[in-house]
Amino acid sequence: MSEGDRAAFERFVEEHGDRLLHAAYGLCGDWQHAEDLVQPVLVALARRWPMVQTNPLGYAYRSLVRANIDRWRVVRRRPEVLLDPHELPAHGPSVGPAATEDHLLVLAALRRLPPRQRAIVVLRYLQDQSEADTAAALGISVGAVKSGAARALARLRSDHPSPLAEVHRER
Amino acid sequence: MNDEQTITELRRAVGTAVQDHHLDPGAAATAWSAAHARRPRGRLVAAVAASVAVTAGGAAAVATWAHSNGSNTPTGGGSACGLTNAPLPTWARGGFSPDSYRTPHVVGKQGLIVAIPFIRLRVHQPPDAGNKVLWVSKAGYGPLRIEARLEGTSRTVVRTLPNPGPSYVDMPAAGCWRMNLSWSGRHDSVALRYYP
Repeated sequence: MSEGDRAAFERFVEEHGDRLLHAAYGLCGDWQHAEDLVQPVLVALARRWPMVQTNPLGYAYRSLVRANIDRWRVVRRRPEVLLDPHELPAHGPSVGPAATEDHLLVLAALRRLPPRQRAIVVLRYLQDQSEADTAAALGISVGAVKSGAARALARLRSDHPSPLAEVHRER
Repeated sequence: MNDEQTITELRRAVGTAVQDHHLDPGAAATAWSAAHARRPRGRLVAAVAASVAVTAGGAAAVATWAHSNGSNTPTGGGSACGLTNAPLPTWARGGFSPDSYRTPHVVGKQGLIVAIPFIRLRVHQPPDAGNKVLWVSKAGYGPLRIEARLEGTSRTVVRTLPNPGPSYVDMPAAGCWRMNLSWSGRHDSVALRYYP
């Protein structure tokens, strides 16, 4: 590959790297795992750059979603439990000092969505992808994205001790 | 609450969570180098190190992956460096009550030793905590040598314990440490993740 390819790839990562990391975090809910998801995707992207450079973001999203689902399947078969008696039970991933309890509850609700619904929510609403692009990333129809999104949002509101409803009532 | 309000709250919460997390500026160059590294021929495994540093309020995490020449795709989906809460092997249950048989642990690849962390393993533990790991061997006693390599790098450390048993095992960096274990003429291997 040419130096031009490399420069284009590096420009892409500079522009979208944070977005991919944040998307990975939204998908898996943990920064360590998010990094583990992003790295191989970047390498695969670099390897395939000439073939994917017309839509590298779409390729990256597809790869992240696939990798997260693969990881979820492995974890489900062989649960990974981290023993940490000296810390409070995690509501979810680590967050910055600005996080409020409301935010933690919202993040916990997001994490409890099934992987596919979570992926739809992350791509459609947190990464601002279109229905068509979300469908392409997930390998499903636009109709499935719409219905999945609707179910996910309803589930976020009603499935748990209504963290989002509580947030709303307090405002 | 309607969909729009739900989405707004989601964006607010996630926005706060991610605001201090950034991809390392060198990630692109590292990924490019890893993608185009020359691989040896034959059945040798080509280990490609790609590291990304994420800074968040001063905390740093290192993630790596290794690529085998038998596969055209990266391993993806994590580094398989986790614990299980399946029941302990029967030979490792001594001292545990039945309701503790599912204490998180990792069994060696050869099935000869079990590592049972008592705490989330960290590079920097609070002053009142330590990286206590209970090693239980199926057979054999005597000094336990641990040769640990940080996954995806050539960084290695060696620890020697008096015997398989309770110990404090510290690692100098966060990540997945692949450990080759030797004791009393026996050999096995485990992987343990250390957090920052």
